[in-house]
Amino acid sequence: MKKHTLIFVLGLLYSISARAQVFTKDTIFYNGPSDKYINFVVLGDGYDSSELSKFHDDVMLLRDSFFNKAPFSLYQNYFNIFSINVISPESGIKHPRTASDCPSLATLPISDPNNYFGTAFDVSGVHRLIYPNDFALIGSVLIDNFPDYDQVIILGNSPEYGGAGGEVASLSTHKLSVEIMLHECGHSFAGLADEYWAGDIYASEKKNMTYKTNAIPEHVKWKRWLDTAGVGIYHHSGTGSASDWYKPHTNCEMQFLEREFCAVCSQGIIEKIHSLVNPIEEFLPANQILDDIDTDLEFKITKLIMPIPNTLKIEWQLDGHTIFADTNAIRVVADSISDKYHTVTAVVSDTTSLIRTELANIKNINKVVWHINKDRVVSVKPVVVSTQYLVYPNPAAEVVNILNEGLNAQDAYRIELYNTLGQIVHSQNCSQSQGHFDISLSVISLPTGTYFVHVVTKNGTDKFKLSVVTD
Amino acid sequence: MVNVLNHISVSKSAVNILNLSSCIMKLKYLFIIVLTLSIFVSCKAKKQAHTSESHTTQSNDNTLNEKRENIIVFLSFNIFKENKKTVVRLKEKKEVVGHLKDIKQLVRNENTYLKILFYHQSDVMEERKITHPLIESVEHPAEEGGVLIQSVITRDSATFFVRAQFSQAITAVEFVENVNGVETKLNTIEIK
Repeated sequence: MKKHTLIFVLGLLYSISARAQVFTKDTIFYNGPSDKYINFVVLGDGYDSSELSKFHDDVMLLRDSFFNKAPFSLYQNYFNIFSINVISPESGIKHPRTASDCPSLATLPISDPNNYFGTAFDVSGVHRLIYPNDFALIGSVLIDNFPDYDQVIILGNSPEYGGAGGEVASLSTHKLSVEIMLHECGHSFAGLADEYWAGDIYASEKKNMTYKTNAIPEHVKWKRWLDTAGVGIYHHSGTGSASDWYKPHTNCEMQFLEREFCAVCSQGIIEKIHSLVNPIEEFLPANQILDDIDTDLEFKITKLIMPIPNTLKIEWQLDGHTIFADTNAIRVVADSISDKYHTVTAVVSDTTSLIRTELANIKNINKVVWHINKDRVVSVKPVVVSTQYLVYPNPAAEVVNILNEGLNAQDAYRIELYNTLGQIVHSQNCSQSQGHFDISLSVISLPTGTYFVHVVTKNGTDKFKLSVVTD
Repeated sequence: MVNVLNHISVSKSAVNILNLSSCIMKLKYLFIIVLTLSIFVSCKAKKQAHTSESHTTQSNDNTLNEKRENIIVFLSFNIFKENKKTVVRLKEKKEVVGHLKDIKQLVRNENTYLKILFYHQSDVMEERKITHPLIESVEHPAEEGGVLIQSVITRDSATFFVRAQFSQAITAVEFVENVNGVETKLNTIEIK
């Protein structure tokens, strides 16, 4: 009876404490707050309590190798890296030596340590396939320790070469394993395809993969890179429909490890980094709606997240017209502007030669807009400060209205609506010729769901989410 | 007689020893319970200290005093085969304050995946495709030469998790599996 009571008490305490999976966290590489930067989180598996300093050192080596390859090396200021000190009961990762391609089966030891996530070699009978076993446990550790992670890596404590990319990227401490992490970031950040032929079921339109009907020099999506740095239109080789699919390069990191990313893939990664991180981190005045102004105003970008070397350019606009460039601060003299509503805009664009877009300077632009009212009678209309767009109603059932008072109607070229699969479901040209941008879209024929609105303007593409409820 | 007395005396000693042994066992149990409780309390205190340093707060219920669009919902599931049908069960729900960026999970296999429909009441807030946890395509290095290949990991049971962020509460999740292009509606789970 007493034994049963004891077992019950211990079991209860274990089950309660098992829910709490908070581990200590090390900051490996830090640029700024997690909501403004891309956050890599490394979870160790197979590191026991005496090996946390080894884990720290292994993650530092991983960091150094990761930021040694472009374009990540050039945009490292956009990233944070953290490690979570997950303590395994026993050291090492499992290696049952059951894979038929496992070398030296007779001489190498079988290992079966009790590690935290069950990470093992020989998964699915493939020697170099290292993969964890319990994904709910991985999720639970992440949510308890770093819920807003952007990319998670499982680092297995083994010097043998191996890894995998799937639900998470997993790798060993072998020096070449970081290549798997780089390759997987090509997938997860930029949505890049593999440039080796993996099979028909993996083939689809991507930034670096296109079907034969689109693979002509005039139309191919990487046409601006053709005949530069080895970029061309190359068909895949392999079984099935391989020869119907085309890629931009024959020696890219998305095809082989230990290579450089080709120009097309580099651009894809950089564009994704820009879509996740606004380089304008801090600015003054912090308040973007300025009423009853009767004195001079200074506008300043106080903190800018810059690539290495810095390729960002700042342009200042008053009411949509460029007034200054290449300075991080301007002063607007009160008497020089009339008594009415004005906007001051700082436009930050990346002028890197690694991006060649169809419309010059249309992508990789971020803005901050200040709304100035010199009138004594203040009538500032509501704005969504982060994007300068007012979207209403949202969710929309029949019609959605999109308003941007900081955008001249003639500067907007086109409005596009994408579904969550990235398919364009509606596109229309903006035919307004004057006034501010104010457009109504019918959504009544769309299925219920989340959509992404892209407003293509002369200064870039503005994107925001729209919920449609039509059922 | 002497023998009998000796025997009685020995028996008394044995009883005393037994009592003493029982007493020691009681103390042992008490000591283990007190020790376990102390460790547990100290661990909880440590956890609270960590949590207070963290940039997030968390809850296992719906008591977070935040706007829904600032809350990350974490759902973990068990998935397994039962009578040749795929069944999904909710394992855990957690909510934390935070913000998710627009990074979509890569679904490698266009013909085999799991589709999740997130509901608020009768409205579908999002339809999301994820890698099928029981038939997972993974990419891994070949033996040498920097070559990558794909393999499919098939399992009878697995766990998986999703993160989501909506302006309204998730009231249910519906699962649809697509295996080699054949779509099958699975179960729907009410989320409280």
